Amino acid sequence: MTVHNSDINHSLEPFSGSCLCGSIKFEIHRKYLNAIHCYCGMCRKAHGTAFSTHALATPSQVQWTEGKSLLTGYESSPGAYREFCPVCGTHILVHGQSGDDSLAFPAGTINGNPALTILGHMYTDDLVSWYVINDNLPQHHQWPPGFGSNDD
Amino acid sequence: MHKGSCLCAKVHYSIEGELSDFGYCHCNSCRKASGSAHGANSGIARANFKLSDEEDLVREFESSPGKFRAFCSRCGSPLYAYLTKSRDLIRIRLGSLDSHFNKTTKAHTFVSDKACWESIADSVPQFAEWAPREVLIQTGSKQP
Repeated sequence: MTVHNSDINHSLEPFSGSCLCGSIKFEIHRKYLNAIHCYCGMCRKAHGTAFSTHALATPSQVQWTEGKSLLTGYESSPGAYREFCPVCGTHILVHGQSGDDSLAFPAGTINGNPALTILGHMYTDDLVSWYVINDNLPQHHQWPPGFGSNDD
Repeated sequence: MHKGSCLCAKVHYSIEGELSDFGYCHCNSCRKASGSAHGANSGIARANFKLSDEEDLVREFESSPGKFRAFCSRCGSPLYAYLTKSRDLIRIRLGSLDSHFNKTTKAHTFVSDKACWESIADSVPQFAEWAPREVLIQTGSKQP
């Protein structure tokens, strides 16, 4: 069931995404997607990998088209929530992590393999020894509020 | 010995012996399940894996016929996966490790499926699908 968002810009072709089992689906209505790689210990645990890659959006750009009520949240740090699908375990959304209303969608959940603009690496102090960063993108100790999500 | 846990720390595990060599899997299923650019998984014998799940939080999802992915139902952390045809072997999701793990990856597999926004800039061998066994043995997987 679609949860209607009256702020959506319907002139844009949306990006769509879902969890692995398809119980939860969403659309991101933006011209293009910015993303960051996060190496913090919580992302590592939440995703089972060396880092997470999150595509960024504001609430006015997101429409839930299926299963929004299924989202199961875990408060991984004060005020920061990680929402996942209780059927297949896929992490769908992080919010509250940067002190504003920006939403972060794990990039692996987005359909069709669209291009992302990777803005940089976050929490690189926590990088594990078994992964090496091989590019020259900016590295940040923390996640600045509003970073990457305020444009469309 | 290795130790690991989920994000909310309600589920713990310990592993006797060393984890196998690992690769980064770029297949669509691993990207969806992890939400990341690729999965990072290492195989061990189930006999060497001891799980502590006092609140019965671990849930399993059959992501493809005979392939089960286990995660914590409280915090969503992916923990391990296994095949029904080889239940005595499991594949640990390396992000769940708490102990130090000093191996480096041996291969990038299923790069034919990789995310277009991921740039593989290292010198590790890349394979369109499975890696050959002389490069990386992926214990407990569907590797031919």
